Amino acid sequence: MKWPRILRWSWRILVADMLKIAHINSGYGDVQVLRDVSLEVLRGEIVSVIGPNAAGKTTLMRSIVGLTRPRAAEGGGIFFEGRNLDGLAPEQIVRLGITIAPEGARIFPDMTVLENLYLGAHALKDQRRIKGLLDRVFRLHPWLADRGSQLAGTLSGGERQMLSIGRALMSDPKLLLLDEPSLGLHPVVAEHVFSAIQAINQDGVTALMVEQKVAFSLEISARAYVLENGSIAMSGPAAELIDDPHIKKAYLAL
Amino acid sequence: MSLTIQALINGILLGGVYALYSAGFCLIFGVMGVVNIAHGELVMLGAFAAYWLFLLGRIDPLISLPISFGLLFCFGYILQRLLINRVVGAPPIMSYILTFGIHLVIANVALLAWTADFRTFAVPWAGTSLTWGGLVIPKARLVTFVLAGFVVGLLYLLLSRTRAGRAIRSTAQDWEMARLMGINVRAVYALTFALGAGVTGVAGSMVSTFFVIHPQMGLQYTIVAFCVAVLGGMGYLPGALLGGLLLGVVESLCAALLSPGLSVAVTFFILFLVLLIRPRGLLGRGMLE
Repeated sequence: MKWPRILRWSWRILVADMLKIAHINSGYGDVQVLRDVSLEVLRGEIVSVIGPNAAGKTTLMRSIVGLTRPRAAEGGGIFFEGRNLDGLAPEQIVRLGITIAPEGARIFPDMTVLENLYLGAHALKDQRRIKGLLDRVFRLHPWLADRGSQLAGTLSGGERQMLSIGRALMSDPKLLLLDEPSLGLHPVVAEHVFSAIQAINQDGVTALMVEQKVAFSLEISARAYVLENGSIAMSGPAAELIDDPHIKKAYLAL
Repeated sequence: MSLTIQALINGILLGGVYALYSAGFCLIFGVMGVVNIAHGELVMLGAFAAYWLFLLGRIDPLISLPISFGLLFCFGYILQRLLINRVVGAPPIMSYILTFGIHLVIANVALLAWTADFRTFAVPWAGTSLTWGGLVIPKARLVTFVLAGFVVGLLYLLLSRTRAGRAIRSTAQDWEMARLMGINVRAVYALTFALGAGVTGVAGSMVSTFFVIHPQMGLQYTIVAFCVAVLGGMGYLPGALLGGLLLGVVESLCAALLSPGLSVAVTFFILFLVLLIRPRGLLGRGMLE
């Protein structure tokens, strides 16, 4: 039976999770990285995925945006607002409203700051909307407005990260993926980045974040998952996980 | 003295020709990392387009330039979509093999269709020269020289100022991130190859007004385009202008002052030195493999 469109839409917007990952396996060639991973992100949340190096965090992010093709068990898969992302190309997935600030920022170094931001809005047509999004990014990082014509490759690590997040916001995403936004940053700068993420979230953008700076990320997250050796080892509200003995011992060095 | 100046002028004009047909080669390599060994065939097809349009339609090559551009643009687009897309991102040897195969197929189909005859055609204005104080400037080459600057400038503006240009440049820098910006990189590659082929078609049309054309002419053009790209920096578009001019001037001065037979040797010696000392090209802006 085919549901009327209005019902399907309201299901997607009101009932379905923002992002639901059910029983996926993923890897490169013969190397399996993720094993039976399930997680969900609700509308308006910040959710963290924490875990040691090589646990599969980046692979998880790449699987969501379609750069790595996950294999799902029967009935499993990656669902965005109730829609199965299986078989969609990255450029199609991004147009649905998911965007990523990838590991290491990966801004376009030979282009200016402003060009990087405009590329973030490449999928949009409406010039007034793009202008509005640009204003939002400039409100978040006012320094970007003065450095518009600077080559992005000449920015510092923290600036690159903020540009990367700004670029991601230019696509007006519903869900923002953040892959280690604090990687390689001075703690003061990292704190700056985290407060920016919090501000973005209060502006109505849902966020799924992969992080190694566990204390910071749990502090701003509603819930968290612990990814170890390619599987979800623990999950729960961030406030509970922060007091968990295993987390304290393994990640917070307490 | 006037011989040297004349040789210098000839060299600069020849350099313009080189730059014009190397720009497309540079663009394609810069964006896709594909060394297009069939590049010279695009020059040949552009030349024959002008030839037939003049012979059958009595259209002046200058006026048929947009037609050559359009024909080669479409041809390049189809070639990229059907074949070359399959080797983008693959190890370089794959693109060498594929484009070498394309080179053979186009050259031999052309041989079948048009025979191995050497052809020239006389466009009234193209055979004449400007003379000034004993110096001779052939009009056709002067027009080609101006066109080279114009075309490279136009390509540069397209890349730096337009939305499509932004998409092309971002794909060249990081194609995975470009996809995450919502850019269809396959379409970008096809557009890039089509543009490169179109510009090369224009170059071929101009070449046909002062060089002999025949179906097997392609390979020598590919080799020169490769040299120009190495001199200017692989994949760096303004480098094509510089590399082309330098190559033209060196060749022409060698031929006039030393011996015509030595000019190729000197060219390759300079190429060798550049690869040794400045592998990123004279301006240091090109790519290393």
